[in-house]
Amino acid sequence: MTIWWVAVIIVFLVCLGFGFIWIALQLSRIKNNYHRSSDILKQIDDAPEQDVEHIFNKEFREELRNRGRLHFEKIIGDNAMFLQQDLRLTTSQLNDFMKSEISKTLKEEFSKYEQSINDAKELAVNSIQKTLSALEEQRQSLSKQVNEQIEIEKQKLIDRFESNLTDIINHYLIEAIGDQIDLSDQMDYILADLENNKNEIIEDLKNGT
Amino acid sequence: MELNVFYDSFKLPKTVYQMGQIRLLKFDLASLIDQLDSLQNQELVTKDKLKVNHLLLELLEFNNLDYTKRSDLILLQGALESLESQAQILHFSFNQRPRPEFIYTLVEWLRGNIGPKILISVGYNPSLGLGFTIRTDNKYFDFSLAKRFSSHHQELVNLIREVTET
Repeated sequence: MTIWWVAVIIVFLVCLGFGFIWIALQLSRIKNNYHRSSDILKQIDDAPEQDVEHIFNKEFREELRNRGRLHFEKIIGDNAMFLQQDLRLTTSQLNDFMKSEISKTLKEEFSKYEQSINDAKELAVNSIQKTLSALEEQRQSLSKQVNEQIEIEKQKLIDRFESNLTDIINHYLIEAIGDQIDLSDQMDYILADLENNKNEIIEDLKNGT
Repeated sequence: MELNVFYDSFKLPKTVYQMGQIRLLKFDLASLIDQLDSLQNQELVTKDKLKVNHLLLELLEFNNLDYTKRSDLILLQGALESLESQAQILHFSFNQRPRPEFIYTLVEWLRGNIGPKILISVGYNPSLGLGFTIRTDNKYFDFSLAKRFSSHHQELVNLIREVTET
């Protein structure tokens, strides 16, 4: 069996080799045909060029150049005009956009500023109101204390007045009529007082001696 | 006459009421006795030859004493000395300086009701107001108007409250 296989393999390899050789021959043939056709095309292409060189001479080319230049300039001008118009439009749109954006931003900022001002004002008002209410409380407390103190002092004065009432009345009586009532006018009262306390005076004099 | 007996009947006129007067009378009496002693040796003593203070004269006449008799003068001198050492003095204070008539009336009452030989001293206290005060050796009697008010203190307070409330 082994020999068979070796023989099969050898045959296969030989066939394969012949196939490769045949394919190579075919390919070279195609290549040669291609080169031949390309040369022909090139020759075809070069033919008009040679005729064109014969038709379009130097003046004709100059004329074409001038026409081309003018046309180019016209196109450039038109494009420039279009560009200018577009630029103006764009600029105005940009201006409008900038204006609107700036206005919007400014309005927002101003509204924020106004809000902050209002907040600060409200804060200040609240603070002032709190201070006022605290002051009012303190004022009421102080007023109450002062009134209490006044009442205490008033009562002290009244008590002092009442405790010294006799001296006060005596003082005013003396001021009013002190010099106008003579001792002689008081004689009856003096003797009456002496009479009422006679025994006590006698007793005291006896004890003293 | 014995001095003790005389002293019991010895009286003071109403014009003699202060211890200072007693001392002055003693001095005048001594002077009179000296005058009498200087005249006794020479001739009959008569009243017109003796110079006598009017207060001493009043005291002598009030006690029925003859100032030409030395014995009477000696009695009086003894009585004044006894009075000076034993006198009962009441110290009065008034808000005015009293007139003499007032003092005489007061002294008369005191000698008629308290004692015949009472002497007084009179003080001046303008803050006293109406009324007076008496001070003895041991006690102080306040008969002033202020004292009267203090005994009616509550009534006065109620009265003032009624007036202020209306």
